[in-house]
Amino acid sequence: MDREQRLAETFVELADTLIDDFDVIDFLQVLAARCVELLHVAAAGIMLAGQGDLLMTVAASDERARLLELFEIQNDEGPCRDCYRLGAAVVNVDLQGARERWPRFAPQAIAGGFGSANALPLRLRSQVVGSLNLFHAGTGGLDSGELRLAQALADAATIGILQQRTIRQGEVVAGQLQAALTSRVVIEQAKGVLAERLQISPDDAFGMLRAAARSRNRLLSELARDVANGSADAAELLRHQAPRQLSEPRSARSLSPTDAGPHGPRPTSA
Amino acid sequence: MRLPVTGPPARRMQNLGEMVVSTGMADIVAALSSDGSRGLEAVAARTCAGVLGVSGVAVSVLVSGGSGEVVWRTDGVSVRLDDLQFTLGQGPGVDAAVSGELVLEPDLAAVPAQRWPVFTPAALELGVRAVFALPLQIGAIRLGVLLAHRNEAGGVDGGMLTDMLAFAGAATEALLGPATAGSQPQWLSDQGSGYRTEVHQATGMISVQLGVSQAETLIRMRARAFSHRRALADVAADVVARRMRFDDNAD
Repeated sequence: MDREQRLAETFVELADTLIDDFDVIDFLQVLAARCVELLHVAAAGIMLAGQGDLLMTVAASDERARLLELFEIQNDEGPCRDCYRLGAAVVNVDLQGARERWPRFAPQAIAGGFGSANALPLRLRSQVVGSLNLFHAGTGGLDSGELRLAQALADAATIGILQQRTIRQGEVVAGQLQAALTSRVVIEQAKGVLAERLQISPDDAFGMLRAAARSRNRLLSELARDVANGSADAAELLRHQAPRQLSEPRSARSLSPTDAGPHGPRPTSA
Repeated sequence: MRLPVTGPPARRMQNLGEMVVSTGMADIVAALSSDGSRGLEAVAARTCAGVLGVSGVAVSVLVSGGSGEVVWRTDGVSVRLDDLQFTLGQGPGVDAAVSGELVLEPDLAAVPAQRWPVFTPAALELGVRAVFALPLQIGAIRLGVLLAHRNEAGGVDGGMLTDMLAFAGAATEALLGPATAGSQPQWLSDQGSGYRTEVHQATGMISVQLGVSQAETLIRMRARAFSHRRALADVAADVVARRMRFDDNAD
């Protein structure tokens, strides 16, 4: 397979990051390997920033690159850290001449067989999520075409990473919304169960549920689920009905407000 | 399914990111994005129906158990259409929810009988002639369904489809709202009771009368509603008001 084909294939795979069940880490591993193939570098690695700006190595073309990146993190110096901090590319740095700039990283990298280093930001507008590191064996570096290509690959990967994060966050919120609505359904069912078992109104049943949940220190939604699926004893719950409630005049409304939160039910107009 | 093209769009169009939507829909999307805490309440359903050129719209959120809870809709037929699908467990909204695909039927009178054997004639009786259902998805989660209907036959042209897709996207975002500390968005707390409250209460009551699970109870309720040619909501109202029981072998 020739280079052009391989390149085109790589970009198509990058576009795949936009579908929802894509494994980003797995893909970044492939990206690191493709960089070595397409850019004539000796090794490539990808670091992503996590909590508190801590950089983590998430993918590398071989163990050398991975070790080097781990070393970078521990020493808080190196091309990747510089790139991430600045949000700008660090290009074709001769490691022999970088001993002052990176006093611990440079000797280690040279000992590992590398002669020059690059780090390109994984960046979309003002968001920098990590960096793509490329190491050469000799002192040669990336030519301008390779640099442009490398940045294009980094940019495409960044869009995919951010897209995945947005989707995951959205899924969490969507799940919460569905759970809240389901809980509302279950609470109404539980009111029906109690209303029938104890021959009381749904409003009174609701008051009983809330009182029981409070006194047993349980979530209303969980107690309601137990009542609705028959695993809670309705007679037991009768103990939680305050005598005052039974003598309250029946509400004219047939629909009861639903309380899925810590506060009292909101009155609805009849 | 090929979409019948009804002619060039009669809308003024403008760019919305990568989509070219009508001016009316651009306004709706802007209104939904500007106030994240109100969910879909920032836009009147009637306005949305007008922009899309349909007789009514409804958005429902899928809950566990597979059915949907309507959270926003035009008055009248939309509610009855949703109740019909809930009662029968079949229909375009049901299909969209299950398959995650668009369901576009420009003429219910032309739909083969075996597709929705009971829904189609019942919907036609309600005066509904065309139905369009779009799933609302975020990542791997099928959040809900947008259901639009028309009282006359007629398809979806390119402009209308783009408007519907834009609305589906904006509506999904609006439903999720801004990140809140609580477990549910503000608009849901503000809503108070849902519109199907009595159906769920009745389900609970009947489950005790019959000694069966909630899921089984729903099936029995649907059967009675259907055999009596009544809306599920009406049967539920009778049960909650204790005018009807299920353990008296009345069926």
